[in-house]
Amino acid sequence: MNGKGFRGGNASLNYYSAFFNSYAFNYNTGRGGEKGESIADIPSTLTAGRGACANGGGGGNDIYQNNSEGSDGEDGGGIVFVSASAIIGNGNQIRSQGNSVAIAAGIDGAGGGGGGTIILDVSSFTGNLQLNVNGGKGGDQFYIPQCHGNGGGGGGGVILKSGLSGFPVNVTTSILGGVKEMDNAMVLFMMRLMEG
Amino acid sequence: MARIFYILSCLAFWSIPVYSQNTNISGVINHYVKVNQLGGGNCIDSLYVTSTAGFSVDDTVLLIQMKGATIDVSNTSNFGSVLNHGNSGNYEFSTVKSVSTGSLVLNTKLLNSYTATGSLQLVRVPSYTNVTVTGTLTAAPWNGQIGGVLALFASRISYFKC
Repeated sequence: MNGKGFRGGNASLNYYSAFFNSYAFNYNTGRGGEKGESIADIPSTLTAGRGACANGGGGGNDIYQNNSEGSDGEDGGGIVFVSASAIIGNGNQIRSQGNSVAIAAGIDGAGGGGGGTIILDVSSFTGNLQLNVNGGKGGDQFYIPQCHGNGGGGGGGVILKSGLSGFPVNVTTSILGGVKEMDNAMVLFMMRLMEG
Repeated sequence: MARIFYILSCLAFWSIPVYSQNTNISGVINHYVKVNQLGGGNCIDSLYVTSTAGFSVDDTVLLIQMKGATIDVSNTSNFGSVLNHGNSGNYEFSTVKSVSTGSLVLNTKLLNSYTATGSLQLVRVPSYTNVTVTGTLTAAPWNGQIGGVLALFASRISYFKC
């Protein structure tokens, strides 16, 4: 169920050399990235800019945030409902993670997707089962002048279980926020390594 | 490997009745439709949907509102703060009483409040007795109107060890 939920915003349509700073404006102006989708619908005139909308991410503003240099935000995890008397995990996972932005996505990194939701109404668990609603990794940026930024990691999701007791020891959970990603120096170092 | 799994399962569950039927599932098992309008009156049990294709009498369904929060829209650092969650996130399960063109009637009146304009969707939820997950189980991706939800009922779910 990774990345099946709310969708990440698109990279800016264009870019201008003049610095632009606004929390919310029309994405079609090309002055910034589109906000991530959330539980609140946004008026069409306010779809871009760095202001984060409810549980969605902000879009980031212009100054070299365009299609070639910026990257699209990633999609969040979906919602899983399972009602069962018994689950035999057999070492598997129920995953609803946010998607991660691909490494070296652009000069400006986009945000990772938020973790999803798992809701279980299950009486017994046999065998190992992992529940994972981690947020996705933010995008890297590797432009040397420090005007640009890495994308933020997606927030961790939520796991809910019916009844008062917690999970047995054979059921493990992972609810981590996505990492912001490595800094410029580390990415450059890795690129040099790859170049030999 | 299938035989080993079967034997292990039997050993683990020797004390419960043996179910006669096993279903293998993977991929997308739910069906989704946009709910455009709720029935009127104080006792709401009907839903007007884009299409009733794929829904039948006695189906278990999940009604879930995906959006509907209102936010601060000022051009300040407060932008996006939730002022009111509205009915976003409300959900409930029911079963289908009857199906007609463009609408469904449920066997239960709605327990929660919903706003049809807040991305309301109806999800058909399969019910199994004995079910084995043989491949990745997932949902149709959320497309802005429907999807993003995986839901199932079962007596026993076994994960096949891949």
